[in-house]
Amino acid sequence: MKILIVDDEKDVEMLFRQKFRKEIKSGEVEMVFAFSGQEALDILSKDKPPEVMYVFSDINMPGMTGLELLDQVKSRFPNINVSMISAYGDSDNYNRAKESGAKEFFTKPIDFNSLKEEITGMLK
Amino acid sequence: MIEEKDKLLDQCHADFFEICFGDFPMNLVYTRVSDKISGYGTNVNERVESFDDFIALLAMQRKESEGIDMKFQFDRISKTTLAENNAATFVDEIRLNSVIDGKDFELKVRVNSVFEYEKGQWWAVNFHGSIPQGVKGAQDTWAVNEWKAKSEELELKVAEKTAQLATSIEELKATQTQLVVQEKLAALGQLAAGIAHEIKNPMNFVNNFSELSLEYVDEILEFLAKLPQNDTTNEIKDLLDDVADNLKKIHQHGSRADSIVKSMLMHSRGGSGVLEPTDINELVREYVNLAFHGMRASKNPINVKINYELDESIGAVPVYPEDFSRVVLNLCKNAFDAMRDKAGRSQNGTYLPTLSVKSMSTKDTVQLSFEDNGPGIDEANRKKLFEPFFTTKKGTEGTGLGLSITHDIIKNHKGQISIDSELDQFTRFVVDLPSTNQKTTT
Repeated sequence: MKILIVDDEKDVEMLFRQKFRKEIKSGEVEMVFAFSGQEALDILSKDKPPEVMYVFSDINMPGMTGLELLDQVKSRFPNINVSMISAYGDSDNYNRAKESGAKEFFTKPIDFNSLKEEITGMLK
Repeated sequence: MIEEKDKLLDQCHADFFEICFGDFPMNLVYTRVSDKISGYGTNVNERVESFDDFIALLAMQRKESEGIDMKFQFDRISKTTLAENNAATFVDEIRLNSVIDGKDFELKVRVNSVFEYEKGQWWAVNFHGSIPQGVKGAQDTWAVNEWKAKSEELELKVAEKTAQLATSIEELKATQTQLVVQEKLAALGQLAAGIAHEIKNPMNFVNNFSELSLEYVDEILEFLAKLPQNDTTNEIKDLLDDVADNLKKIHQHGSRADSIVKSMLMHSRGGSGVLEPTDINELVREYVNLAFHGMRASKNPINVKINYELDESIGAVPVYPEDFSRVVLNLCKNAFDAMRDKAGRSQNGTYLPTLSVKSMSTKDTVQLSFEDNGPGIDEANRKKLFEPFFTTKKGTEGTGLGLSITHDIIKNHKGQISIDSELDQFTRFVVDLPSTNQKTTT
């Protein structure tokens, strides 16, 4: 399963790759990274139909925000799951994300166990 | 002729006042004042029935006014001539001005005087001075004592007012200082919130990567265990154990920084929530329970007996549930920490840490009390308890923000928090919340 992680912090890639080392090694999961909303849309548009099945996006990013990205993805690629990962666990962001069709809402610091559960749940 | 006589009358009249109030030579008084002089001064003892009486009164007056720089002026109120211009009566108002103890005083005396024309000249034959209004001193002709008393009274009043002004100025200055401090704190709070947000992300990385590395070290150790054991593998194992310890420290301190950042954000976050009618007993039970299990799951769990005395008649109370649950958590956490300290010092093990949680409904408020039987809080610390960054917890335990936040949250609820404590006996926090809904601006 191909997953796209969107976060303006580049070290997120290293963190995710290490956290999911086994899953990546075994080929269960493939991860691609985008560091802005636009880059994420570019990646999704590259293949038709897109190979990415699941997008995890930060909300607070320069340029396109995660919520804007969520709207775009949902309108252009309605089959792709999108979950939000945000440092701001306030009800405003949560409600907006849920209304726009986000599957899950994770708060930072990321609880990787629940994230893994979410991903392995999709694999089954 | 009549004009001449009238002029003489006025002169005599003026001289008489000069005698009474000025410095007309004593040895010439007999040239103006009749042998038959009679009259009353301004007080009952100043009765004059003879020339000698008059001289005596005069002497007394002049003695009393010694050292007093006294000036007088008179305004004539009436002048009546009688007995074919051989007698005249005057009514005058005398204004006596003097300086006593460096202050100006004015005293008004009304004087009736009678003059007779005899042996080719005018003589003062009768006078009567009216006691000026407000002068009480019956023994004191010039009311000097009265003036002095009044002066002292005035001085006292002035001193009092001056003191009041000084206090007001002090208060103003203190308020101003406070305002400046608050302004600085507000600015600092905004800055802190900004910094907190910025720090949160790198802090997450520190925690995540240390956690991750720790997992890796564990994995390496597992692989290492599969190798044939020798001095080298043992050395590697020892080093990896140290690395794991270090990573744990990094994670521990990272988490500590993270909790401080979270508290700071909580502190600066304006309450954007909504007042929700909440079953306060349920909230209290839930969060006391949560605090208890949190504590039990911590590094230093203690055994605590929790007593509930909840007034089940309390209906729903409007609170910001997220904020208010934090109040309950904070108060419980403090109680547990305090009792842990005491339990640690208790040698014979007879001490049973107990937390009593009560709720009570009064007319307009709901009262919650959290009482522990811990070491208590001395008065000096009680005063500083709600100040931000004040903590008695040693080293890494406390951020000093818990009670400060608690206080702010309760203030946001238009409630009150108070503390009562006795050393080595108990500490009790009492929270009063308005039981009716009211708009709060936060």
